[in-house]
Amino acid sequence: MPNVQLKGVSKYFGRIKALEEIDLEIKEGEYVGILGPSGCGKTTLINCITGIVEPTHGTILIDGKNVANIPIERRDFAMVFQSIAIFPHMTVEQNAAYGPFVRNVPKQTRGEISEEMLRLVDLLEQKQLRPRSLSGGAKQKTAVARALANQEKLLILDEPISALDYKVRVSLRYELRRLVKKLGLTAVHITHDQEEAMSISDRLVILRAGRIVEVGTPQQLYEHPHTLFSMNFVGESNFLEGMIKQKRAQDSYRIEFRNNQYIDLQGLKGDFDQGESIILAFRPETMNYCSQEEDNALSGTILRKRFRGGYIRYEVKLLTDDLIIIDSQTLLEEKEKIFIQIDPYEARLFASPEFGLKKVLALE
Amino acid sequence: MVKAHIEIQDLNKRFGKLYAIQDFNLEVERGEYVVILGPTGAGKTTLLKLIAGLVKPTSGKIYKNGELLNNIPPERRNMAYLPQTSDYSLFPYMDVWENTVFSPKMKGDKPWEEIIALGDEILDLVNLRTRYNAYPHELSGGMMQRVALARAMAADADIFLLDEPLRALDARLRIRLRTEIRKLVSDLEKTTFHVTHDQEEAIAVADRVLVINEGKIVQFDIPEEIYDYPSTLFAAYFFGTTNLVLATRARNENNGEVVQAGEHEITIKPKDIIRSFDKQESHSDEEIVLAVKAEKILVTPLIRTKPESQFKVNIFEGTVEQAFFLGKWANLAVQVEGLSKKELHVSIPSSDLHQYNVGTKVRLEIPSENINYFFEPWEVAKRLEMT
Repeated sequence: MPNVQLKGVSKYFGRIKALEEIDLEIKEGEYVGILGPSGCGKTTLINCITGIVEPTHGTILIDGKNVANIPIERRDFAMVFQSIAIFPHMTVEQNAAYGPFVRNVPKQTRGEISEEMLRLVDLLEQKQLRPRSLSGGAKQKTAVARALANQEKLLILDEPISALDYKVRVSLRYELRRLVKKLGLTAVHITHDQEEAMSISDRLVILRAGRIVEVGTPQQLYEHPHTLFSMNFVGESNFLEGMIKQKRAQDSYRIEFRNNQYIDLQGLKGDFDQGESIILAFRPETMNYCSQEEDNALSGTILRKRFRGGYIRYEVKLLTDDLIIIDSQTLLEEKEKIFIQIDPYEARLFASPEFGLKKVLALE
Repeated sequence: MVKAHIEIQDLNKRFGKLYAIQDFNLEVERGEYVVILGPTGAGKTTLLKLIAGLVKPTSGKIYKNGELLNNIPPERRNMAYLPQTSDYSLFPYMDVWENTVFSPKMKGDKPWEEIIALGDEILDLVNLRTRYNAYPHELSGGMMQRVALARAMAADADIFLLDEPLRALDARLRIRLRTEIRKLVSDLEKTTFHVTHDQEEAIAVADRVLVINEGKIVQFDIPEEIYDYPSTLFAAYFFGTTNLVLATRARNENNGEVVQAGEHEITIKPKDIIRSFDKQESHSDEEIVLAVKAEKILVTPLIRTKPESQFKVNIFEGTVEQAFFLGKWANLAVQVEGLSKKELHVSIPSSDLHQYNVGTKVRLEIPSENINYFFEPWEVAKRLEMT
């Protein structure tokens, strides 16, 4: 099983800095998701690993070996693309056996390999079909089988399921992860889809404008992100602008919001000073609320409710003039007044960003 | 009587022998936001084009405010059609402002000051006023999307036809923009048809969802109704994360029916009178498909010492095979010995995830009232689940 190390990797295209100072270690057998908005450098990052582009600065080690002078055809990896690249004139079976065929593997072994790969992706029954008679999902599974047939241990997936229908996407992400773990591969998976990235990865790398914003397990990044950008990018959040009115102890603050609204919170992470401008951020499913007046709660009115499948989404206008969202399975009514208590262990406190909240959270 | 804004009667569209649209009948009120949902090839785009007048029906009628549209050309239907292209058919050589005011300028029926005021107002709405002099190639996908919307709004169309308007965008941006678009057109009281294959998007924005498959209407209803009371197996499967369990009918009991799913018995109950069983006879051994949403299965870690009440039905023991963190939710794939389905997907709040690891033994309960069932051959379910 290979590991991949990037040390200070930068890639410039003219004046455009596609990647800047990327330090990243991908361990053996790890499934790493690379997540970021369009143009963040995701594709350039894997192009550097595969050798499609040369980094401007920095070193890339695969299994501890510097690959700077190894051309793409001699780097050992398997790759799956978004634009399902299988040969239309070949059957599923011939597609799967293509890699071994090119490498002059004897016919019988070739047959065995493709048989095994098609069994893994559950396509044995369709092995005689040509791509045009396959569904989108089956086509992409063929591409996966073909990529794996070379029996490389490093699998690079560039938006492998983004072009498929939602239902197919969900089922393929489970199958991909199962496959990678079963075969003991190291996988690097690029996507712009948060849910896909979280469900499939051991660790997630969040990229933005060519830089790594944060690296962590999906749960770390969702529950305890270190940046406002991640808090907004990986799942939705509420952001309240306020100020530290009073600092009572290391982790105990009175926070004041607009319209003289304030709450006391104890147990928040981070060190802030009295008078400092802050952003209080919390996920829509994390607060407690009720319709009776509560101490130390933010009060508001439910403007709208919407059924969302497994839960209901409420839009709530707070007395602070902020509009927040609450996701809950409890039934409340529109125009109802509610009192919201923030759970300090679920909420995050961030220093107010210099150029404004909007700019820090921007997705485009 | 108030006439429906759009009414479709016995609409058919055939391409050769293939029906792209078959026997469509529906009415849409003014200001309604209708999402047309279905898998690739269901006929979604064809339906939009029929309404827009870009495709002629094989038979059937389309009315707008009671007026028959069949012989009215697209440019006189007063509809804005946003096709499914990555450049949103913006004029590449015109900047944001020129694109936006294109239509009123061409019509030439308004004084220039009025056009300026209108353009400013609309660009404010879509949040692009500061970028008025940018050209399409200088904009992000989301911004181009909004320019296309702005142009459609300035044209003063009263019906918006949006074909996968968020397709080319990043997932996170899609989540933000879908609500914004919905708000924009609803504030302007436009009637909207929005095509997507993303059921989550449909639930999030639609007044009513028109579910279609293979050229036919599957169900046309508010999201709650389709989600909780799907009228067909297809609708049940398509919305949410749904477990399809294959069973055979066994026997009637008190107020329910017992079906056999592999080695297990499962009790199902009619949800209400309308949907109740065909009382006449219980066709023993008849194939039936149960559909259970992942969040409607109750899961707890298995505690051996606690005996099960004998009145409880639909209790299973299983083993967690995989656990997926999804943010708000986590999804457990649970293997149940002897069940006709290899694993059940169970959705839990992710804050409970720490209780479950791969290999954890769990107790599952599927309350009878959480089960939708369809008297369909297993083959239909198997075909649905094939990817």
